[in-house]
Amino acid sequence: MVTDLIKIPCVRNLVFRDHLQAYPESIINVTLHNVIVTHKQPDGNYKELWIFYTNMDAIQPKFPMKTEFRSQLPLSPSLASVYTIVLRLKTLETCYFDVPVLDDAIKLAESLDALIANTDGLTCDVTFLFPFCFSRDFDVIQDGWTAFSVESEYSRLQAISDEWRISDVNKDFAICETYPERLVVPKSISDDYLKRSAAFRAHNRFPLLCYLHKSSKSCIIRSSQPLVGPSVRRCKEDESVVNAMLTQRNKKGWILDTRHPNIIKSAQSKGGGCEPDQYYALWRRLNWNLEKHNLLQESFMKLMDACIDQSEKDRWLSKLEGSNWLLHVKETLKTACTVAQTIDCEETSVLVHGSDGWDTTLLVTSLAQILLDPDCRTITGFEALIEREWIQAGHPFRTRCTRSAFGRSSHGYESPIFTLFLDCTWQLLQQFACSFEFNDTLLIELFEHAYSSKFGTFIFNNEKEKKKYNGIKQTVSLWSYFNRPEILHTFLNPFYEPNPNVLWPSVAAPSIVLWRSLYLRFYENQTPQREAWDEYLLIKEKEMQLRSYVNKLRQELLELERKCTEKASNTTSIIKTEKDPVTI
Amino acid sequence: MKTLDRARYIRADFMYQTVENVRLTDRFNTRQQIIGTLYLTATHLIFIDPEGKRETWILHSLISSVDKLPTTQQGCPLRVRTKHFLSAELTIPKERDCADLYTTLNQLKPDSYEKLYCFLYQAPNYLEKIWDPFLLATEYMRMGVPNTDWKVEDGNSNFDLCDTYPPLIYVPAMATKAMLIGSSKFRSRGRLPVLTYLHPNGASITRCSQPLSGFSARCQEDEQLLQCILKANPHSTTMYIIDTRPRINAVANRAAGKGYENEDYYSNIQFKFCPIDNIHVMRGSLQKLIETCEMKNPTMNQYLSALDDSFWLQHIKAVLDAAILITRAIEIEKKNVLIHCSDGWDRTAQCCSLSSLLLCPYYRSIHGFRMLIEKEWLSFGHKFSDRCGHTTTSDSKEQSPIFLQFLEAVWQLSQIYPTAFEFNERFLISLHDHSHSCQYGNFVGNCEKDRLDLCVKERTYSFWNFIIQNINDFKNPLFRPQSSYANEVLLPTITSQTLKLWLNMYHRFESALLPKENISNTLTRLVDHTTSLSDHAQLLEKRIRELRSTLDADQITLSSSATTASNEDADDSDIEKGNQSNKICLPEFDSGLSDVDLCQTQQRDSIPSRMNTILQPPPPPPSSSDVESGFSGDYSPHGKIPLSSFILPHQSSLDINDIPTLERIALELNSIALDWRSYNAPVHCDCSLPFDSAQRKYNCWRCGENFCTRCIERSIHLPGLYSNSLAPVCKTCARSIKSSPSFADFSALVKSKSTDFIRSQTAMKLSRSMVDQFNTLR
Repeated sequence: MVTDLIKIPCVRNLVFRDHLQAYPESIINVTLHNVIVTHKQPDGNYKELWIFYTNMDAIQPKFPMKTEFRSQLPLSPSLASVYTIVLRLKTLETCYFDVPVLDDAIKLAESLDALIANTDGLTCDVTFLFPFCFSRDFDVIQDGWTAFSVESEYSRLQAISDEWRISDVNKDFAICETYPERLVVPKSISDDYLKRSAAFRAHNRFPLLCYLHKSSKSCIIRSSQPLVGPSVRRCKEDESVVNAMLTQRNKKGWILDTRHPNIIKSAQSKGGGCEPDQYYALWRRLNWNLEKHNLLQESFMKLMDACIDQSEKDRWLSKLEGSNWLLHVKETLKTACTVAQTIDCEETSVLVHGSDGWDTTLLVTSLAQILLDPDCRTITGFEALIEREWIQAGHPFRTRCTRSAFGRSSHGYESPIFTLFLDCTWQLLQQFACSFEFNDTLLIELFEHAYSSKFGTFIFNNEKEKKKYNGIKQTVSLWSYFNRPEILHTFLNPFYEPNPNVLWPSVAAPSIVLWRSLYLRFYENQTPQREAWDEYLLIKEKEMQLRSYVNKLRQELLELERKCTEKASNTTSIIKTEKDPVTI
Repeated sequence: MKTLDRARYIRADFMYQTVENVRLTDRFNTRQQIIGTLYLTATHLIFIDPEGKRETWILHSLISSVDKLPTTQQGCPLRVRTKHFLSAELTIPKERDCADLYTTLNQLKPDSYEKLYCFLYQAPNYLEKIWDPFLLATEYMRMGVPNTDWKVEDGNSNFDLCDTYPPLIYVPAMATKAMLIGSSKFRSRGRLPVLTYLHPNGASITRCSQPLSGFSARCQEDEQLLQCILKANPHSTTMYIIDTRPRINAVANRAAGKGYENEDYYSNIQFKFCPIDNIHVMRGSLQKLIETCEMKNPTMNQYLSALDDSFWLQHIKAVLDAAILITRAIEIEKKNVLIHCSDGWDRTAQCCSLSSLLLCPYYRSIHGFRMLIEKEWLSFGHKFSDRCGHTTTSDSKEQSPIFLQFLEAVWQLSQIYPTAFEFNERFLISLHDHSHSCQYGNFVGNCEKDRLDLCVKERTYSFWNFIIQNINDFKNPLFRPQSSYANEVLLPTITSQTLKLWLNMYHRFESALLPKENISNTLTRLVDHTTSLSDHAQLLEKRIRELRSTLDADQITLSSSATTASNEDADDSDIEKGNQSNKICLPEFDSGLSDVDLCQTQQRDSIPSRMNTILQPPPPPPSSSDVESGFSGDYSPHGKIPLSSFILPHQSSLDINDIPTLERIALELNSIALDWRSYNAPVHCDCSLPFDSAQRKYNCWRCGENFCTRCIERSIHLPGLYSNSLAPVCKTCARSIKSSPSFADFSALVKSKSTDFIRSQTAMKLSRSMVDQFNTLR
């Protein structure tokens, strides 16, 4: 029980600090789902900071906290009068609590530590998480659980091509646990073929269409690695499925493996591998070296370590370089550009996979769609993309987001792959500031909700799990919350002008920059930037209003003009004596 | 340099050499080479590709180095690097051409001040050789000096005390002549402590050079002068001396008989070092930065580590840290600060100007920033010619990017506080470029005395005049004068993470690297469009009132229409006059801001109030009194200002002739575009010049399409504008509007009014400044 873990429910009279301010006389209450920090604002009012348990990433007590060390602790308060607990949140914020009483400090630290361990995504009981107790406090305009259905995607697809159908082959997740129940598959392929193909792929993730390009009719396909193994097995059904998706018959398609050839080799010895050329003759292969999830986690931790380091002892830029984060951003974008280039310029299809097909594969396919498809750059389109390419495609959000940049889980499955996706999207947004309907607030909100949220959208690893725990009934969808005018308008980009073209970003090193408004947002004063943003909105609004005002005035003027001429023709007297009669 | 009219410059008698089939190599796209023709003229090196789409103009004075690279199959490559961070690799087919070009380019470098570009430069017609006089005295007057604590001293009027200081210096009221002379002898190059900034709270910034103290020397007069400075601030009993050098440099200087103040000799002094490295380290750092930017397709890690190794951003941070330390001392501790480095014209100039900028919002306006540069950099003798290497006679070891660092520090601040600065990035870049280009006389020479000797004011154009004439290009659309950041002392927290690389400065010629869609240009477009629409709306409102009144008059009784109409007319023109006078007369009452400047802020300020009226429901239809009241809020001036007698006749004469015909209204409506083309859509201008995202683009106010600066005319009065101001119009529209029959009498009308007006304005301004000068001299 959670209550057993809480050794001290309330600590008073502590100093709560963040990077910009300190609030003395604060109070901590540890409740069933939250840590509530009550602190006094400069204006005298009290404010409450609610920290979900799921949002706590790590604590760093600056004193030995284990009971066996207790005897060694300085007992005289004059030696150490304040004990500081550093609480790092998954949203990348850092809170400092200066507790005056040692015993309180130890109890608080132990409670928090236990609570953090208790919320591990792999081991915890999902139904105990906050989204299951959250009751909706707003009116739903559009239910997010049903907003993005396979049917609506299918009807979009049919407008381009009629070679596809919806299949119920995965009913009750019969052949693939990490795919949704209803799937879009080629018309020419029967369900039996799909079943065989699924058996030949890791985690049964058989090749699936994710994007069909309007102009070239070429498509992006994703799957997991084929189970070729050391004996180079083949599966003719899988070959047919893959070939059926090669819409451009006269051109060879590309199979883009996101792994380094050495990793593929070692995977092959373990039963995996890559499609052998001799069996997939219509395809050419391409390798791209994107790092695995655990290396990305390493990189993310180093990045945040560099960002919060205020000591100036080490050089910031070399620490940033050492984190390799921007390198990953650059490589990911480059890969996505390669896919987009193949689809749009070479006009041929691409099959993307890594090993499991639910991490880097999704990263590449979803980014390529943002480049290619203007619809993905609208708010609804972007939500649909995340729903389709991440949630329904089975990205294991709960395990991947169980820890953020500061904590470590016991199993090591955590990884900032979704964060990397958002970062790459942000890079596109800052290079094409007018081509996106949304601004970076949406991206930051998505980042925060992916790690810790009161909504059910990101707490399941796949659709099967969602169904098992009855997530649709028991939790509220994030999209229901987002898609209301009062929230949506905070996401709007005032400079948005729909851009029908494919985006070709620069992936040269100087063009890839740090996403300050995410990583540094708690460590730098954001008020001037917010003020600038307000000014953006004001300038745009002014222009729009004046335009319509001028338009109205013009019509009024023409109307008056008409009246004048009428009068002029009715009466013999001319309005202004010295003027010539006028005709319109 | 694209702005220059090409016909004038490619003239046979100016042409030295023409080379065909030259390849220009693109650094980021090595496979793609442009083949074109290279022209060498007296002033520029010009590369034009055969379709004439891309032109690269390189001013000789901007060239920093020309290097011959190893010969390849295609010919001899020549690398031309400029001081504004262009690096072009030109491959010339024949070796002899290459050698000739190389020699000529080197010969063309100016070897004396007389050969600098500013003495040849012929500006476009709209620029005149007007140097509106900068008066140090006005700037000190703004700070409330002289007062009981500080006085003005003319002891340097013949540059006797110090030849790199201005003629008038400001010193503590208690300081005696003997102290000044004594102190100046004890300071390196005679640069004694003088006031540069006085904060409203009484704390001040004074600047000087290092004392000639060596290991033990002391000077009573200098010690007394410092005590006087300390006492000039009634709120504090101690003061800071900030040495902006690293301690080790200061100590090393002792051995050469210089060094720093001995705290034992100066009572109540707190001594602090702010480690900013010397000019040689900065030069090396910039060199490394340039090499980083020139790397061919670096990986992310190569790029970041090269950037780190250049130490450039760390140096910028050191300068900013020092400025923030000084700002805190002044604002929070209310203590006087004396700043010096070695000679007190490099690091001291940086720190004084940056801390003033943080302390005083005035310096964050365009006009104030100009004052800051005139004061801290030009008057107090920053050696622009030596530091920028204007002539070949100056030692290359004297060159250093000190001014660039200052500009970059300002840019970094403007990134932290986007709404606090009136000027934009383009303004800072333009300042940097023209400090090197010598197109204007402002930055020529090493001190005021040099510029006086060269008679730059008589012989050259002023950079500030160029800025004022194009002021809209240099305004920050986000600037919010009423925001807290634009009004208060700025005390930023700067960590290494805060600072960014200034892409638009160092990478500006690699447009492929820059964001494809530029927000700040879009903002400028929106602001310009708003200006055009609000101006147009005013005219429409007026026309509607006129037509209504005629309609009403007709309705009441036809026979009496004449009298009623004239009454209405009178009312109208009254209101207008009020409005006009408010707009136009203000500059005369405020000497602080330049005219153009002020008109602009006026207009800006008036927008919110205009929006209020716009947001109101439309005035209910005819009934003359209603119409009046509906618009009165809009037109009533903020304060009644008496009309100058000479404006009146023109004003009323315009109104008499200014009666709308339907033809006229049609012309007016057609002359203003309701919608403007977005900057993101077109890839090239009408003249086939390809647009890149950072480039300033202009919308024609008549057709709303996008044009480059060359294809825009700015000398047209559009009939659809209420204010009769000059509007940017594309050449096609300009032609069609000029040829329309009813335009002729309109423009004649405007011309008679506006030229008279401008003439009288200028005359008044000049006479006023002469009076000022006279007053201060007395």
